[in-house]
Amino acid sequence: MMRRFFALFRKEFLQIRRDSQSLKLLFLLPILQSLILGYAMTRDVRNISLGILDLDHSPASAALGVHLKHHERFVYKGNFQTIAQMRQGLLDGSLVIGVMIPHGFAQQIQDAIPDASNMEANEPAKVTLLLDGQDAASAGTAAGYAGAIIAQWSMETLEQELLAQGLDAQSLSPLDLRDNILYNQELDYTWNMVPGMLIILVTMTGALLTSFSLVRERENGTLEQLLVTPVSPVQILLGKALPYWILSQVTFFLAFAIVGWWYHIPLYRTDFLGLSVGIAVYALTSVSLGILVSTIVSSQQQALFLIWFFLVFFILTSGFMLPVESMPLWMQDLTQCNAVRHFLYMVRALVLRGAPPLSLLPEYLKLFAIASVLFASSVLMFRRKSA
Amino acid sequence: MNMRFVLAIAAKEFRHILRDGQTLSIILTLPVVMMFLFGYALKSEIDDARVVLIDPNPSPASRMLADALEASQQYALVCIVPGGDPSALMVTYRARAVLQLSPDFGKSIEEPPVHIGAWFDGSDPATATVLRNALPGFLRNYISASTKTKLPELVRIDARFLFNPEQKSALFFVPGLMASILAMICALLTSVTITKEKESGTLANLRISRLHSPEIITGKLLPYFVIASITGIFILTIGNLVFGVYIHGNIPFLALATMAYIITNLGIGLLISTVVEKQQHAMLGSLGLTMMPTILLSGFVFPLASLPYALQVLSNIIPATWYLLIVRGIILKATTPASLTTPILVLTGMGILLLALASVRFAKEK
Amino acid sequence: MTYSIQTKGLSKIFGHFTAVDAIDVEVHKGEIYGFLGANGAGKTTAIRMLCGLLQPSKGTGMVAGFDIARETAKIRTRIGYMSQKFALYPDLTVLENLQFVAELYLIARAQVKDRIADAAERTGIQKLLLRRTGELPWGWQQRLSMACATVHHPEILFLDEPTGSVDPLSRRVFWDLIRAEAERGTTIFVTTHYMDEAEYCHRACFLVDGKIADLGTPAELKARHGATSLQDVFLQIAQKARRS
Repeated sequence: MMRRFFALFRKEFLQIRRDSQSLKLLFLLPILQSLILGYAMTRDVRNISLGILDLDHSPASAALGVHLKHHERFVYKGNFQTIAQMRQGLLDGSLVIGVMIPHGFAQQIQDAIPDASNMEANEPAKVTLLLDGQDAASAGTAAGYAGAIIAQWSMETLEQELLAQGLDAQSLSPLDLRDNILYNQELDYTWNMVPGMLIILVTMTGALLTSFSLVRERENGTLEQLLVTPVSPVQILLGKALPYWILSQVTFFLAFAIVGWWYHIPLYRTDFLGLSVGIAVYALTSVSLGILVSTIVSSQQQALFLIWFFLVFFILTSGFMLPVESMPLWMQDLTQCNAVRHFLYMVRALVLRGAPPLSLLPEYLKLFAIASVLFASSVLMFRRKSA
Repeated sequence: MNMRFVLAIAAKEFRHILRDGQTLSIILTLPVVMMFLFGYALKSEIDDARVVLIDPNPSPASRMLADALEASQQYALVCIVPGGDPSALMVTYRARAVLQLSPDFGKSIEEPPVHIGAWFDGSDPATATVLRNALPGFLRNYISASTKTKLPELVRIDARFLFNPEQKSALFFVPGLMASILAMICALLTSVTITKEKESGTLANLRISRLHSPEIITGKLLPYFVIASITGIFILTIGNLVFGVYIHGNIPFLALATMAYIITNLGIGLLISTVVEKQQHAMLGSLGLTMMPTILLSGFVFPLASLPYALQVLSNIIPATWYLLIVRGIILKATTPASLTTPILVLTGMGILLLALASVRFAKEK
Repeated sequence: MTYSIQTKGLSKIFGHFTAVDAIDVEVHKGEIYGFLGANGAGKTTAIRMLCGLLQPSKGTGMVAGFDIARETAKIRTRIGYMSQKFALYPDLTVLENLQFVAELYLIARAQVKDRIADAAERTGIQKLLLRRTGELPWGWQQRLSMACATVHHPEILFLDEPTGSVDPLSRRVFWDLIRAEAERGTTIFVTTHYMDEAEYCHRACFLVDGKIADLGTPAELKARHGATSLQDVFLQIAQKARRS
């Protein structure tokens, strides 16, 4: 019976090899895109267009303005005269953040500086940040940066003032915070995105190609021809699943090597055995999805749309772009069934953090469970449809 | 051009489309699902970031810090340990941040400086950045609360987020959604239907009939123009009824821009169909060429200003970039059509160019 | 006497539509049995039930001594099937398609090469072994289908419109092949709507609206309907047809 299976396997492989265009489209195109577009996948907010509305016109406000203008995070767009102008700037998109320094700023600063007699602080000066609230994600991060940068200026100015008065600046800056970044010193945003891109690639290879292949056999009548022979439906299924299961893993590792090298991700930390087990199970999930879809649709186009639908949903809720922890709890629970979520976590942990596979036991188990259920269902559905 | 021929082809195409209930339902369901996700499930604020506290010498002060962490929305305190390697702790407890207090923390609160070490998970730079930016402020608040003194602070920030008082994130994503979904379905459906006919040989039949290329093209593309337009209207309607997305600006202009955008993507689909022979290749090609660029380079998810310069230049040849400018302007900001003349002209120009190029190639194929 | 193929009241009903209506078929071993009828008469549905591709709604059937509803696995090793549409792999070469089929039928490894050469020669495609199947003209593709259906020397050969749209030369080749197979003892169950080909059958039955309208040797049928050709016989029977 292995002979029959092998014949199916060999046939499928021959067909895949002969279809060079599909391989190019499925492999070259995404890889090229990953190499170029990875740089686009940055949730970092840079080159923030900044406008200043200085209602105080004092040396202090000017000093703050200078500090902001020259900071690398911002792109200075000019001084504004009225709030309305600033609002307009935000409205038409030429400004991302507007800094409004109120009248009396310098005086407030002076009052806020503690002197020898009064170590208790007075009310600080207020600076208002105006942002476009519609792009909540970027606006929040931009505000965070602005806040930190202004706070930094505030601290530096305060220290200078205190030193000038001969006071101990240290005690007024009681916090000695030493922060460190682990795993990704440069905070290279592409590193975080690469695992996700690879996973999308693998899923497409596994699910789409398998699905197309099965639907095509149904459309052409070759499936029927196979069913007339002594081959069993399960053998047909495995003969299809196996080549694409192998192909998606090969694709993964190849892409992994190329893209990882390109983005200078240190790959030596990765436990490759752990990764191999993970991708093996995940590839089974995507191939099973392809098989399952092929039993529900009647044309290749339908297969594409259905898989696209599932993919979009799974990828958006996988933590690829936005963290899972930030989702409402009910949604987080739902995503326990999302294989992409678990595999993405696994790949990021193994590759970016060099985590030991054992620490990812929950992910392995969940992936395995999902893969088993999907595969079993796909076998059942296929047998039913071919009976 | 004989309209009767065109309409005959269009009618037949329509019949095919309507029979394919599955695809139609997906085309209409997907945007709704995405709007739902973006509106209710996907948030960019960092909530409940897991943090581990290393406290070698527990004290009332450190107890207070732990409470502050638990109370904060940004953090979720996982556990307090007496010691350990931050990196190992991060792995074991799946934490995004590890805070380490010094052994004399309890005393140092009264006698500064207070030494705190913080480690952030750099594998997620976005979260790390947000946490890192916010931590100093958080700690300073804590210190002034526990010592009941006000720390000197020269400047306090008041951040105001305009134009979106109800914090509706659906608002922001609907334009991008429209851009990406319209692009996908136009390119995909068009390239597939033509390639399918190529495969089965019926396209050859059409070519040798009395029909001219422009008639075939128009007839085949017309139904998808209609479908895409209906999808666009559907997205906006659902956006309005369910998610409160209100079009603040000039609707006819929006319609015009959308039509130009649809035509552009139909052109892309037609172009793809002149390059490949098999359905599968048309599908993979359409998917590959429209999905990534539209989502990544148009400013849909990632702001254009944050892109490296080279990619910013590249984004100018992506139709979605221009379309998004118009749609965002009209839906969110009531921008006047006059200030959107450049985008609409570029978009229309792209559409004409692509369609012309594709049509020429199509006609040349024999 | 045991029949190669035997059905009793075999029916297939799709919802309200009865595609095959209680047919009783008896085919002897080595017989060329023609299943004739217009398009939509139910021929393909009947054949698919006999091959085990479709479960009958009512009635029973035995093929090669096995029940078509419950013992389909045993039937499959003993039959060959050639469908109306081309059902082989266009991106594979002729040889690769034959090798594939040979493996599926578990032909003894030592014999595979000879069997393939033999099948190729019989169908006249021996010079095309290395050609891509998709590039061949239709007639030669059908010959390949025939080769694939006979490479394992099945007991029964089911042919569904084997000569549809095939050039006259290939058609002749086909029927020579069919007769050669029959002489070897293979039972042939062939459907066609080319009534002139029906003359080659030992017996033929006419299917109209899913029911067997008439059955017999070509001679008997012509005599019964006072016709000079089976074509005329068919036309007469078809007058009463509601479908087609």
